[in-house]
Amino acid sequence: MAIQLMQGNTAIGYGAIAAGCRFFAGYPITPSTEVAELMARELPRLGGKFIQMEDEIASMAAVIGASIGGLKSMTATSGPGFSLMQENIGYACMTEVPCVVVNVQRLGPSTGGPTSASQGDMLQARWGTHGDHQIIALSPVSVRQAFDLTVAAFNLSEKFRTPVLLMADEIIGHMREPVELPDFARVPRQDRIVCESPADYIPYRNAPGDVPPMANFGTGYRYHVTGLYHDPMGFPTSRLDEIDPWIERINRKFDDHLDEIILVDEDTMDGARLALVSYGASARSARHALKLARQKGMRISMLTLLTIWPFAEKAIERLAGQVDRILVPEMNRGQIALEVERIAGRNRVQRINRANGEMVTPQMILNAIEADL
Amino acid sequence: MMESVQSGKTEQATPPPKKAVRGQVFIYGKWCKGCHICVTFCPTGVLAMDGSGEHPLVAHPENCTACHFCDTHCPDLAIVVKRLKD
Amino acid sequence: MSTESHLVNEPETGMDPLPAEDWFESSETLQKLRKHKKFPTIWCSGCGIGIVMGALIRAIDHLGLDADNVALVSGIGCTARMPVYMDFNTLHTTHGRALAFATGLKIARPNLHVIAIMGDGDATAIGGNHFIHAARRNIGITTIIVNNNIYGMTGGQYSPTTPHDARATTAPYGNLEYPMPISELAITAGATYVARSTVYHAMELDKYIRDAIQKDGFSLVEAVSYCHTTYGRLNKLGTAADMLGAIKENSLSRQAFEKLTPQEQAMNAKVVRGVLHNIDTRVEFTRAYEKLVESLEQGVEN
Repeated sequence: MAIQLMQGNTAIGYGAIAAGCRFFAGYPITPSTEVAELMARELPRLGGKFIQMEDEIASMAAVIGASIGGLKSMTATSGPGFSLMQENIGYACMTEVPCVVVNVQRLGPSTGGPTSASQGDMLQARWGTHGDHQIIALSPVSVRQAFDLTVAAFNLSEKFRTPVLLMADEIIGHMREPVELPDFARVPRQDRIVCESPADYIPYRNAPGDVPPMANFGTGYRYHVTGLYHDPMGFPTSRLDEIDPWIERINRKFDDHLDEIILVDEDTMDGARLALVSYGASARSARHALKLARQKGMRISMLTLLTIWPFAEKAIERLAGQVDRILVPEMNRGQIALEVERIAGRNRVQRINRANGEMVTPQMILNAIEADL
Repeated sequence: MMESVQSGKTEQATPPPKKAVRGQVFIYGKWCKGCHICVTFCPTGVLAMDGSGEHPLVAHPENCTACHFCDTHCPDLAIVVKRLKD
Repeated sequence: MSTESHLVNEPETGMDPLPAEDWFESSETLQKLRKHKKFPTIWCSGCGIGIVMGALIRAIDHLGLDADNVALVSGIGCTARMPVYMDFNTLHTTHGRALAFATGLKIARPNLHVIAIMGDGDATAIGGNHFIHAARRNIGITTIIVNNNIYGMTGGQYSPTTPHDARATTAPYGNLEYPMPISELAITAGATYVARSTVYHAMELDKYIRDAIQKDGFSLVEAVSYCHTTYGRLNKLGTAADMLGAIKENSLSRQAFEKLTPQEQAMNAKVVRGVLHNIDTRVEFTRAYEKLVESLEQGVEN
């Protein structure tokens, strides 16, 4: 594709299409609406399907229903809609249905600032739905990355049979950058494959790699899907000898494959005593501050989190072993900082926060760096 | 289990006329939960509760007219009625 | 006389207990059930939900539908426990959201016969919004609502269809609210086929379910039932058999209703059974979308 000036939300839509998404159900909400509008226009041209549902709860439900029917499916929303979607996100976790949920975060809580940015939903991404569960969440730093991480989101969701959250923000969603997108036909796609015959199919068995192959409804595999705890056949159970192995498998599914799920961008400098850890739009400010600081001769490392959940514990441990202090700029009052503090130690971590809809600026970060050194 | 069958529609067990439709009733006790619906509503008194009061018996098979009330109203799908050829 | 499983056509048989596999074979319709699922069903002895399940499998059998092309979608509640017992593509979702999940599934696979199965609380309280929009959209989902006027699974709380003044666990002094007319709401919202019957009139249910499945739009069958263990006990309405008989007494056919005077009609408190609405003036949603896709393809070719 030629280089073009592209909006982040547009890149998200194209990323979905390139990854093979052929179903979108959503509800308009600022600042994510452009994603829905692009999908409404483009999907029918590709033989895909778009529907605007009556609310976000229905949108999430329709996405799961379509995924079970065999279409790669997505929705896009912001804070208030994200809150509404939580119950059904948990349903997708429990039933292991692949899908992608885009949250273009805006200032909250509540109606908040619909056209202002934030990174205020990061802990909600991990724990918004009730019950013990795991989930994958990614955060893009640029328009090109919005495309790439949307593709990654689809592929991870299929590979691990899980919902994947794309935690963008109003800055990334609405900004425009020149990008050169790859040829969509060449973008790698993770597809569903079932090798067993319908007679042998066990929808939730303890498969090697802990991810049972997913059969689509209407293709000869007739099975039961439920949000209740279920046995390997998918039937409801309250037996501990069926619940316990399921819990173990569902956690191994993630814990044993963290190297495939956790994406980070490490920019380490020998002799650095201080590091920045950031993600999303805040990482843009951090990178600029890093550049300015290094120009002044300071030795600073930086870790950009592309995967936010599961958390990059090993990468943070490594970093904490190399430097004395870690600065965490975020557009909230300290959410991912809690994870960094947990691993590196509270007295070694400094938060640089802004939770009023404005970006943490490079100058704020530079001031903090200089005050420290 | 209920001790007596409540029925607002108790009818005498009347044998049907000679050339009417006949049926054969099959009951699967393993699925039956003893709700008494079949016994209460059978129009010709084919069924009756057994001694324990928990499951129905086919007490008067000769009265069955294959009306299919019992097998379409058994909530447990524990009854099948087959229409007999004359 | 053995009270173990037995296949009897005579009293006093001494037959050995029959394995379940053989019982499934005893009729065509029973073969629609899931052979590896544990029976008997979870519902209370005498519950009308089992009667509706019988009507549904008879309807599917009568139509000769391919099991791989049938999907059952339910929410939460006693009625929602129905799909797991049947050998189709079955989806048991979150409370009130069956129609929304079913919408996604139907759009993804328009050739599936998608049947949503819900109780009165699931469909009209928490699911009310999805109910009216699925009807408005005229999406080709066959909807069966078992209306027993209560939240049975959770022990007997009042629902949007509990009669005024009736007792429930959350209306201990009598229900101050008035019931919602489910079928009438669906008609107003845009459903193209609406029929209502009762679990007493099981054969009628078969027919309406068949017609609803074959209808190419949003179709609703309201199946009036009873919950003798919660609602019945709290309102002193007797056994399952008593309540089943009362349902018959408390209903009348649409033909009979139309013969009443306007004044009698206005005072009518009985359940009116029949096909209440059947129109062909709207295109079903997935067909309309297919037309759109085709027209865009042609546009691209030109």
